[in-house]
Amino acid sequence: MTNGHGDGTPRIQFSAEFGRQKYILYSTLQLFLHQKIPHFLFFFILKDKSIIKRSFFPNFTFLFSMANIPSFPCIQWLSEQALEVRFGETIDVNSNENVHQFASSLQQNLLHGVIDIMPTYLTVLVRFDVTIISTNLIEQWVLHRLYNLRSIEQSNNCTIIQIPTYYGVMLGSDLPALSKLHKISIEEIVNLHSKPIYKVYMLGYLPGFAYMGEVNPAITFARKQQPVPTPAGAVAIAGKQTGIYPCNSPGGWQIIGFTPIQMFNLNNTPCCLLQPGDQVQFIPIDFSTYQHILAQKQSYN
Amino acid sequence: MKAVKAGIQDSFQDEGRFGYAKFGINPSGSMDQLSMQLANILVGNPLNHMVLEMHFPASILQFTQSVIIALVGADFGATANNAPVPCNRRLQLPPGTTLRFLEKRKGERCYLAVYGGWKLDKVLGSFSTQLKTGFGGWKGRSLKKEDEIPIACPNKFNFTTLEIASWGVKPLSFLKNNQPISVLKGVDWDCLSKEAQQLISQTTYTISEKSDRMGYLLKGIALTKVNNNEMVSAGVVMGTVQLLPTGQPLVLMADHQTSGGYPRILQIVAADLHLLAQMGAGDAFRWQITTHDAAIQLILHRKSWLQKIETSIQLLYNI
Repeated sequence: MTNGHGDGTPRIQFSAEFGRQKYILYSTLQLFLHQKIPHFLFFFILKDKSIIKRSFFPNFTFLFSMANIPSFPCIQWLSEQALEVRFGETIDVNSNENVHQFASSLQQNLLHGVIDIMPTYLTVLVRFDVTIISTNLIEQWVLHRLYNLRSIEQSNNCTIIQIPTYYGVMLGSDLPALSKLHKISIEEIVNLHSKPIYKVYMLGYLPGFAYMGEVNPAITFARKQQPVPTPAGAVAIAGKQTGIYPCNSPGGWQIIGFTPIQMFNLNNTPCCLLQPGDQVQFIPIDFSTYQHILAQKQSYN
Repeated sequence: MKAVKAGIQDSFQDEGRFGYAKFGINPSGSMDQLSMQLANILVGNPLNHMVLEMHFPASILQFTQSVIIALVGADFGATANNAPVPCNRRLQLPPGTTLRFLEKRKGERCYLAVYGGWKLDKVLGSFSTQLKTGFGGWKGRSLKKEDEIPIACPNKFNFTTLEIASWGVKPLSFLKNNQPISVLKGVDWDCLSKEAQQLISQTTYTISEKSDRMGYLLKGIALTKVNNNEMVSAGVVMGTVQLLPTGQPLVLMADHQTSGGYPRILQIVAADLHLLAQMGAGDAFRWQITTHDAAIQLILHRKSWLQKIETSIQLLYNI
């Protein structure tokens, strides 16, 4: 396969090592995605890469290096069977939204040989079996999907998943300590945490553990120095993010509440309540409601 | 199959659970996939059928019925009813045979395949055990004493004596003298300082005591970074080598978490993962940087080689 991998450095990004073909291909994609060139030109180049080899384009590389080409999205290779598409360098809502749009686009147009698609804060990881599908085909598929991304409208996802949360002190949360340390009343913490609608950035660390953001700056509590046993259902904060522990686990996040509903259940499809891209809101409940929901769930099981 | 005595960590695994990384569910699966596949081929199973991955000290296993088995991977000095049996060969066991594993001679993980496998339930498409969260495989955990796991094809055979095949496969998961582990430059290779980048191919790393199915922490010369920028969590796979703040590399193995925030400086080629799987605390090795193309060729070559072996054995036994 004609590859621009050269000596194996996977970061395909405007480096002379990669050869003109890949360089021009990705540059063209980015110019197109940022609406600097018309779509027919991009498609033309995508379809007929031999145009690049023809002699009357000797200074293409030079021309591109002159243009102010944006850095994202870009394609990197994590391993010989895993490709990563990166949408940004620092966490922000727009890049993360692109991640989710792109991941769904891939999921809806799956190729045989692709074994997993994983969205994270800023990247989408595509794993495939190289004995079934070649890296060239995967690359072309990914580029086509990126091209189509421009025409996908922002999905106005109105469904907000509500998480009933008991914020009181009966179950041993860190609220009293946090309130004292940061000089902010428990009421205020609860208020600031339960008001916003959070976005699920990604799931990781444990099955069903959703990283959600962004938390109000007044309650961005730092992690604990050492992890401690954290029970299933614990609603917690670490920095700008909030999360819910799906099972008993050592944890370093500051526990501010407890939810009686299950985040991860193998008997359900899908097995996780929250998925990347979902919108979430925490609804304060009192202790008796908490116990009631918990009991209902247990009797159902 | 009954676990008369439980081993330290014997769990059922197959090739892994794929398609759920977005839920934070990592693949798990066999550490040494090649040994798993060879064991399955020897008994006549599909390539990636479930196997029992055993660490040493391993369980004492008793088979109430006649079975065809194979043990591939580490050599734990196996005996069947107190008669020594070799690894890497197809074995026919009469009913009531007890397998014992007497000493750890070579390697870290031994794979037991049984013709037809065991009667386990698939969880999210796989028989692999998710040891951390506790699902999949046999009740989501390693074997415990008195566990009785039903075999999928009981009463299929009726062997009266122990039969050991006269031929077998070569033990392939062990590093030859001074053989390096092939790696690719990682996604975050540029985070390493120039000195560190040069050091990687020249120095030897040793696997520390803090090494298990989740990952191997390596001891050796500390690697320096170009800057100390925080990395945002991104996807990782088995074989991804992360650089910890202390300068030590951490190689992610089968039970790794789906994402990580440390720089991903290297990636062990898929074809060499089985070599690492049979190494444990104290074992040393060096890296050799290779290209994506070469790594892919290794995978393709291995696949066609396995297919050839599978076909020959099928012809031999008319399976």
